Amino acid sequence: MKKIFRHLTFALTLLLATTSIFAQDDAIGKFFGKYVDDSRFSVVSVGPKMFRLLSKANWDTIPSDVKQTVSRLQSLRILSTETTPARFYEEAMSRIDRKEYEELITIRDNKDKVRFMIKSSGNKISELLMIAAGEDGFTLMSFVGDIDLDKLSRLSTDMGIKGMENLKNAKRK
Amino acid sequence: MEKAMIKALLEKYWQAETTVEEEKALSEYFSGPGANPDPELTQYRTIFDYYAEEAQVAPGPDFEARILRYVGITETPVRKIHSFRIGLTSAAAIITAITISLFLLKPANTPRIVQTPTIKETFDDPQQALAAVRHALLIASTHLNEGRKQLTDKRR
Repeated sequence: MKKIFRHLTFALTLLLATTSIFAQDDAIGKFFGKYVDDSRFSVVSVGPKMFRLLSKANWDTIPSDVKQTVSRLQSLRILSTETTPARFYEEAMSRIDRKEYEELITIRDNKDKVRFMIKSSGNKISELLMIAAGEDGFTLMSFVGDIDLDKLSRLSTDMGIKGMENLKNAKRK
Repeated sequence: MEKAMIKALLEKYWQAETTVEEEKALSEYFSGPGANPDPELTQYRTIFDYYAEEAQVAPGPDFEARILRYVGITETPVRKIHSFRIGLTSAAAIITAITISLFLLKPANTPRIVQTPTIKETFDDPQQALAAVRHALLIASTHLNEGRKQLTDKRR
């Protein structure tokens, strides 16, 4: 009888564990949901379906390291606004579940704040969250997939100074 | 009965060649009602008396219970083993059902971890989506490097 109960308990725990994963309603998802229709925000969302469709795009001009990083992603969500960046930064920070997300790096440069949070399962990083606030706006960015931080940081250094300048221009759009 | 005939039968009996009838006759002669064996043969009487006596022994009414007690089982546990088997079977069935349902449910539910149904796809064109993803990656990468640079600067 003991054996049966042990098996049953194990099976039930397994069941509960998996359902709790399915039922997960992450804080950042809610944050997105709250402001997705807000006119103050601009939203970019590329879901898993579109990531699969990316193989149909023209990759000729894309460097191979970018290609590698992109191919491992599953979704990208960006939420940005120019109004009250500090307030939204605080709200986003308060909504993050610290049990799920681990702080990776925080950068403070004058009035600009950028914070990277990671969600990891095992040795792999499954989500990278970037929360940035400065004078020109607030940005929340979420990458979901298999994220290699070393590769990611190499992307911009490989681009060189020219790439960085392009990036700065693009940011102001 | 004649002494010589009994003697012959006995001889046969020692050789284990007697028939059932002959054995019956022998026991009749030695230990049957009103038996009066020849004095020369009385020594064998005890054998047949013993057999006749032992044949009367029958198990008492509590025989089965005594045996069971001796073996160490009472009747109730027998039923318990039975129900245990049913329990084991149903438990196995439940576990199998759960396992199967887990495997069946998993592929259908996995994408939900990533997808947020409230947010629509921004791009219809993969090319535009790719450009946006690349752009976002570069922004993240730049900030990440900035942070790493600050860290190494501080260490120095």
